Amino acid sequence: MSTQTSQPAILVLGGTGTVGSRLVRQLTSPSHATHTVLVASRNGTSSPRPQPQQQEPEQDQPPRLQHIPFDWQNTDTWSNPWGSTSTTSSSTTTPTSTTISAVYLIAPPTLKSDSLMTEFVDFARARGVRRFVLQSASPIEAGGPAMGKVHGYLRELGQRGEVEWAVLRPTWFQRKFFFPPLPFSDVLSWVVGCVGCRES
Amino acid sequence: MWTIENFADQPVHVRGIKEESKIYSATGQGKIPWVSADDIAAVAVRALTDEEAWNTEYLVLGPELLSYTEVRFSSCLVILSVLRGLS
Repeated sequence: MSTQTSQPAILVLGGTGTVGSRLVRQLTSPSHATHTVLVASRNGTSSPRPQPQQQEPEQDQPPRLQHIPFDWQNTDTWSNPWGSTSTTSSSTTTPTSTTISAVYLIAPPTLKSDSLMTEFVDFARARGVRRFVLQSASPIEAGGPAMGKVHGYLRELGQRGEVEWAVLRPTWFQRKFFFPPLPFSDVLSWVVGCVGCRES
Repeated sequence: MWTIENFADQPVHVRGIKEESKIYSATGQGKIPWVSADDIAAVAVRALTDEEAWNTEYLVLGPELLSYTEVRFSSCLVILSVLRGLS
């Protein structure tokens, strides 16, 4: 209530994952100081992975990075990014009507993720979100399984001029699950240990 | 996703590396356009913030086709060059 976010916000769903955490870091770097970044995750806190580059907000500006508790399976949490709850762990502001201009969609690791995501797209559109960027995968065409359905839906809405959209299809092999990451030292020892060995 | 970070994140690789110092893959000598998660994120930044909306899709692939063996070799080179830079 004290401070309303004046900058348009970008909502990153899955913002603590491999790509999401990097996206958040890049969006909050000084060269992209144009948006507030809302990081949605189930526990609403920052990633457990070390992120030493994380920017400290300037003293005289509202925090540009806010962590939002969000759970795909609990639709009560879906409105959290717009500030209907005051639960933000990393800031003291409790915006009542955050303006979100764009959403980055990463599929939740659940079955039926496509229907949850299309439902959320409509939920967000009803709250004024104009742009959606979906992270899909290289083998999945628009209209294909899982993220392909969300892709097809965004394209259809775009053709009717109802949203701005983009779909990224990075090289893909298999879905990631939530496991403790391997410490860099272990990767290093494996790589160094393999120098000179012949095995493929 | 076929990202370089898979070796640190994916349970099957984590277990193989920790317990056997091996990486298992069904690709044989097959080559993959490995992409880095940082590069995917950089594309995402543009898609989210460009003034003009893209309204299209993009494949985000690495610049080079590499086999698992080649990725391991280039990882060695990167680490060696970093170590040399530190000394």
